[in-house]
Amino acid sequence: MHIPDGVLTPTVWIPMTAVSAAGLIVCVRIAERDLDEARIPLAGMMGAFVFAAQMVNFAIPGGTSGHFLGASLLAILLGPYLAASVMACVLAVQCLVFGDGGVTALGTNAFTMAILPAFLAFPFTRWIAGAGRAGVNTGAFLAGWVTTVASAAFCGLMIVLSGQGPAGIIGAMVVVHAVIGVAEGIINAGVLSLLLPMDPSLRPSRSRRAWAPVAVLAAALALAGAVSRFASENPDGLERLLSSGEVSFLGLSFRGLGILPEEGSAVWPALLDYSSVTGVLGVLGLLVLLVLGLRVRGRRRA
Amino acid sequence: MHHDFIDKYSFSDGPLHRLDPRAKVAALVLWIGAVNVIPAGKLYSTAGVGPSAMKLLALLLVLLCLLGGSRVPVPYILKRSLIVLPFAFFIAFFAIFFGAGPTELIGPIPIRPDGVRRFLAILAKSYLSVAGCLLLASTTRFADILWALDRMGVPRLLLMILSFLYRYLFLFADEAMRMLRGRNARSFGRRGLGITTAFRLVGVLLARTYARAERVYKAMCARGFAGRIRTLRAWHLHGTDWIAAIAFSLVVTAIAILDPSRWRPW
Repeated sequence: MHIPDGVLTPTVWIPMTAVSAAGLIVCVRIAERDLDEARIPLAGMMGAFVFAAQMVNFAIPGGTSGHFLGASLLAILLGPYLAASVMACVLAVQCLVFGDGGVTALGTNAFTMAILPAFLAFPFTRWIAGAGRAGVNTGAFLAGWVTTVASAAFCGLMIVLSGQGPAGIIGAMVVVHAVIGVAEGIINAGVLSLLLPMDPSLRPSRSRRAWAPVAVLAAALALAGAVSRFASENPDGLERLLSSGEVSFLGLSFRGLGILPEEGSAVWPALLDYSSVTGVLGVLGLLVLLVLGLRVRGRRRA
Repeated sequence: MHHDFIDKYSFSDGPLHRLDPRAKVAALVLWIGAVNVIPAGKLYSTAGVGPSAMKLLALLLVLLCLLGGSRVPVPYILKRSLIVLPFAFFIAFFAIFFGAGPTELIGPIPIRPDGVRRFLAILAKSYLSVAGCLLLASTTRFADILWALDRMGVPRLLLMILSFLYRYLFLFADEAMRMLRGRNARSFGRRGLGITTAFRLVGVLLARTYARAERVYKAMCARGFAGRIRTLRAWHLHGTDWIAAIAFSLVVTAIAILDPSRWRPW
C-alpha cells in the first residue's frame, strides 16, 4: 500500500499532506500530554517491533505468502493517538531510509496507513477493553480486518483521484485485502489471546476517549466515497470544479468556481501549469494549519 | 547482524558529510519538489525528445555530480535506488491503459500514448526521489538528521519515537530473522509455516519488546534521562553551508522551472 513518488498528482498529495500534518500534530500533542515518560522507549520500540513483525510471513493456501501489517495491533495496545504517531514514524523511516513509499506521497501514506487505521480500530479497542475471551478474539479480528480493508480502499481511491487508473482499482484492492485482512485479524486475535492472560496490564483501558476524531474520519470517508463516484465519472473532477467551465455532478450542472483558468487559456504563465496552482493553494492551507498547530502548543506551555 | 546498514557510509567523511544537516534536509525537500513538479505530458512527442525528458536528465546529472563529489560509492546509490522500481511499476502500470487522453491500438491492446508518458515519468521520478533520500542517508548520520529536524520544529515526541525506532530496528529485525530461521528449520517447508505459528512468533516478539523497553527505560533513568535526548555534536551554519545550499537551490529550481522550448532566438 506504499504509494511511490510520481503517482499522485499535486491536487491529491498536497491537500492530503496538509490533512495528515494537521492530524499528526493533533495526535502528537494529545499523545505527548497523556504519555507517561516511562513509555517513551516503549513507543519507539513498538515502531521497531512493527518492522520486525512485518518480516514474519506466513503461507496463504494457493502458494503465495502474506505478511503482517501491525497498525491495528498498535492501535489496540497504545491507543489511537500514540499509535498514529508511531506508525507515522515507521512510514517516515521506510520512506526516507529504505525508499519504500514516496516522499511526496508520505502524507497520503501516513493518512492511509497510520491515522485511518489507528482511529478506525478505536471502537474495537473499546470493545476489547471490557470483553471476555471470545469478545477479545472477535474485537481484535474485526479491528485487523476492517482497518486493512479500509486502508486498501483509501489507497485505491487516492490512485483513482490522481487519474492513474480506473475506479475498478478500488474494488480490486478491496477484494485482495479482504483476504489479507483475514490473516491480519487472526494474528491480532492470536497475539492478544496469547498475551492478555500473561500480562493483564496490556489490556487497553476504557479511559481514553476518541469518538470525535472517529466521527470526523467516518464523515470524511463518506465524503470521499461520494467524491470517488464523481471522480470515476470525470477523472479530473476537482480541477473542473475549480475552473470556470461547466461541471455536472450527480445530474446537476453548474458553473465552476472560476479559481483556475480553463484548460488551454493563456492567462497563466507557462511555468505554472494549472495543477501547480492548486498545489500553491494547498501549500497555503498547510501553512495555516501548521501555524494553528504551533499556537496550540504555545497555549499549553503558557 | 545480517541486515546491512543502509546508512553505512554516513560515518565516513567527505565534503557532503561536513555540511550542516539542516542545509541537507532543506535541499532534499527542494529536490523532491523539483523532481515531482516536472510535467509528464512533455516527456516526448512525435517531434522528438521533450523538455521534461531534458529536465529529468539534467537532474540526473546534478545527482551524479553530487554523488561524484560525496565520496559515497556511485554504483551503491544507483543500485540501491532500483529497489523502488518494482513498487512504482506495479502502481504505474495501470496508467498505460487508463486515464485521460486518446487511445491507440497496438496489436489487439488499446493503450494511451499519454499514459505511456505518465508511466515512464512515474518510474523516473520515483527513482530520482529515492536516490536523493539515499544520498542524504549516506552522507548524514541519523542522529544528525534528527537534530536538524528538532531545530526545524518537528515535535520532540516524534523525534524520540524515531530515535528509538531506528536504534532498535536492526536488533529486532535480527531477532525476527533468528526466529524465522528456527521456524523454517523445524517445519521442513511443510507444516508450521501457517498462520498459527505466525501469530505465536509475533506474540513472542511483542512480549520481548515490552520487556526490553522496560529494561531500557530503567537503564536510561540510571544514566540521568530527563525526558529529552541530548547530542554531543552541535552544528553551526557556516558560509560554506549557505553557499552550497543556495547554489543547489538555484540550479535545481532553474532546471525545474525554466522551459527552453519557449526561449525565442533574437
